[in-house]
Amino acid sequence: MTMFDHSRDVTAGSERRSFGDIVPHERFLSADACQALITRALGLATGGGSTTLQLDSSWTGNLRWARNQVSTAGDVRDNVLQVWRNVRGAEGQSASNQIDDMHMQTMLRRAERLVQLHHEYPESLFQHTFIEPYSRPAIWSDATYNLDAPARATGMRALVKPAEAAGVSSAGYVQVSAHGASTMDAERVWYYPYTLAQYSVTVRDSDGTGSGWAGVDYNDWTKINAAELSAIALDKCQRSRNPVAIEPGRYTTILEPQAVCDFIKILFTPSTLDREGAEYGDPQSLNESRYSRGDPQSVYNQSRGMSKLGQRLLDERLTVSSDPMDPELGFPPFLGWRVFHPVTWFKDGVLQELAYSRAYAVKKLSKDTGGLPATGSFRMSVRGPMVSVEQMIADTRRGLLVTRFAGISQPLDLVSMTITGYTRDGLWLIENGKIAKPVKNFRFTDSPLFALNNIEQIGVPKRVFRPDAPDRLPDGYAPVIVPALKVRDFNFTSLSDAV
Amino acid sequence: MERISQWSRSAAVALTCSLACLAPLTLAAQTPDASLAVMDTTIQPGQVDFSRYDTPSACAQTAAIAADVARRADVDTAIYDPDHDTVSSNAVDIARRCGAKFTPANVAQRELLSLVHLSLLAGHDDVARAAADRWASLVTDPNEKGWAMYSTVAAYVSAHPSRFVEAERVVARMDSMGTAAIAPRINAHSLLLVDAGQRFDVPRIEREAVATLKIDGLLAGEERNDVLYGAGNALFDILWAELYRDPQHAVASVMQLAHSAGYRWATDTMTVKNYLTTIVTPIGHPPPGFTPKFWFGAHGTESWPVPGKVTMLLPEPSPGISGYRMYAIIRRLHKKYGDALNMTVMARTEGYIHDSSPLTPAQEADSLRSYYHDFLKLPVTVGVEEMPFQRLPDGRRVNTATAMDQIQLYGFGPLLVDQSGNLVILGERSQAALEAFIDKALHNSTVSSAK
Repeated sequence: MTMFDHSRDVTAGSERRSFGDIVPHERFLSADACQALITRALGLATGGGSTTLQLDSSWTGNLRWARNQVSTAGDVRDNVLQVWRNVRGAEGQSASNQIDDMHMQTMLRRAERLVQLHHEYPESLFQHTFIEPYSRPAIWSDATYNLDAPARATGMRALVKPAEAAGVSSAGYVQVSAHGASTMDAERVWYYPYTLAQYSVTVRDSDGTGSGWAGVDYNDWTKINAAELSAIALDKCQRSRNPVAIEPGRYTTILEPQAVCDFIKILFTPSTLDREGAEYGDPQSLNESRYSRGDPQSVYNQSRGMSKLGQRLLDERLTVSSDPMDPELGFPPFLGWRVFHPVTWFKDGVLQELAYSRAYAVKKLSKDTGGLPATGSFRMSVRGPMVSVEQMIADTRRGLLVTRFAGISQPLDLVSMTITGYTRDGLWLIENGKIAKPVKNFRFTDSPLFALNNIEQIGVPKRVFRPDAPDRLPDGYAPVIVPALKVRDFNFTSLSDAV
Repeated sequence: MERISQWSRSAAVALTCSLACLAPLTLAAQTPDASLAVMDTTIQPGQVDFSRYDTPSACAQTAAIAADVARRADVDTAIYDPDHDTVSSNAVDIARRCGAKFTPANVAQRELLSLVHLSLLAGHDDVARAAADRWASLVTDPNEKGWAMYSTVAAYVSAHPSRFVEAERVVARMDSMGTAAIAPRINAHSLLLVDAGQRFDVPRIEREAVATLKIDGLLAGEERNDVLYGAGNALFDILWAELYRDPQHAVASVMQLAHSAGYRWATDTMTVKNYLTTIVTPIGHPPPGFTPKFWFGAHGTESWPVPGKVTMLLPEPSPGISGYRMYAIIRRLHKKYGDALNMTVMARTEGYIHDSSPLTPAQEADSLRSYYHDFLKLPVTVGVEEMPFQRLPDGRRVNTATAMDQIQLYGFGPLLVDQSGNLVILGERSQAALEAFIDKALHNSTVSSAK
């Protein structure tokens, strides 16, 4: 992987290196092209005011297979461009994935027409976008960018072969992508290139009773050991055949890292971490409408107008943070003009920070900052001894081992953050320190806050598969690092027919 | 003025939405498509093919948008001046050219109200009247006919300028329907009351308010609850009008008019009388407690209230001085009265202004001065109180109410103080009413205490 300073801030006027020399741009737009784009947009805009562009220029290569055969393979190149025109405080927005002059002009005219139809709020002209420096995480990988279609196909054949030999069916998906994320106006161009790679595979036996899954995502394809993941999925498939039904109820449960992520990620989404929501009932709230609903809507709300900041909510061995510069977690350092900062949400189980906007920083905290936005990306660190999943199993008299969860949607209750879903792709009963047998899947109903206070043993934090946050970052990317956990009294409420 | 928050917030939401609101990735060619013509969709004469507009409602909507856009070009048209406001020539042109093919006889019944609107925009009042009359004639059910006529009254009153004489003609016909259309009638009189209020035409206010209260007396049960707000507003309109006529006997006059109209109070008479008395009690006395630490005179440093001048006090934040409607009134009043009228914004420090950095009280006070004097260019004196505050353990700033906050009357909106420093009126936000009270205050050295 090439390590380079691959960001550019035109405002700073100190472009450190030319992107053109380092990042191959034949499949997505370069910083120079973005500069040209905003120049063209400014030239085509009519009626005065200001123009802001936000662009995700990307190349994506993918390969999907099912029943051990390729079903889809493709290359996608796209430019998702949004335009904002603001004239005298009235704003219009338009979006397109075409960036030629003709479409740019059409987009600008559409935005300008919307400007005419919107209310003018000249007060907004009294304000200025708050600009702050952003970090430069190393999230570009040449290996990811160079994984072309032949390489993906060759790799797939090797990955499928063991499943074929075992007489089972493999279905998987490989995706690599490269992006140029940019925010631009007449004053400055922010540009940041990065790559993403993901691999996931499911193996099913021929009679459909056994299923195994494994997957992960990284910026760098070389960090993904696809052969090992395929072997794990195959092994889980073979060991999960012919599951037996056992009684639902509260079990000591070992959650593999993917299951932990599936279960607890909702605690760290931007909406859950929103500080104003957590201060439900604040009579001097900046956002009154939020409080007109009548009931608290945040798991981090303590009492009327007060959040749970400063309280210990998790096991004291756990610390939760997010940092775009985290070498294992890195993510794009800005979205729009919002800059992502390193932040420790929980320190030794104590809630340290909640997310807030610049308006909140200035008005409520008297801080001259751009705010503290959340991304949905997080690392859960551990203080104290860490054990392997194998050791957890050996230390368990009777319990369950969960590969992952599925079917988790909206919380049943936002205050306790009770959620429901079901196990999939491998669930085993543990007896006397050993895996005794595969068991049929369960539906669970529990709160991550309960589980994170019932921890018996903690594993080594690992990067998991989490490309599924479509509303967070470009391309739905919010990486997560979590450990496996052994928790007491996990609440399984019924049997599930899932496989 | 609500400082900042909602506008900056909407911008933040727009940016937050940014990529999240995008369509899923698609394979996109970058080759320009020569077959795609760039459409200029600006609504201007000559650029829109009106042959595609085959209903009066389509034409009326187009002309109305053009009128709104044109009105926004001049900030002082933010307030509706019922006697003088007209629609832009562009909108009139659109209404005439687009609507030329329509007559009351050749459009469907459901389009007749739109034809009324369109004709009023075009200045073709005779066509509007014919369309309104035809619509009323086609509706046979008395209650439905009443609502149809009410809709035409609404069209007349909301036209620019308002056609209240024609509206009164329709309302007179509605009144002749008696109890058959009570709800439409009370709503129609409420519209006429609003129109009279915008002109501060005291005799008309009294007439329409009493008519509203009389019809209210005919309503019963749930039906009364549905339209009660109209009658409630009428009481306040009468109170303001009576304060202008004779502040000393304003409350008694309101009670007498309501009694003569047969109005049924929701509570006992004495409670209502006491409530109204509470509202008017400060009138005739100096306004209480405003102790600014910082003063920025519109024309050099001045103390407040200015002896020998009529003063309009504008408590900030809203509803005292809120948005461009009030700014337009301030500019117009200054144009009319010049230095004879002092207008003072009563502001407080809150630790920020418009998302700017946290500020010291002196910096914030100067930013407020800059906002009102340099940015909005309002001819106002700015007085700034220092807001006490405390911090919660989690770092949040919590403002403590100032003396000004604790005085309920400032919550009503603008206050007018006469040359002797006594309150003349509070909470009135109609330009015509303010002018009437200012004229009166300029000619009277004092106003007697109201009881």
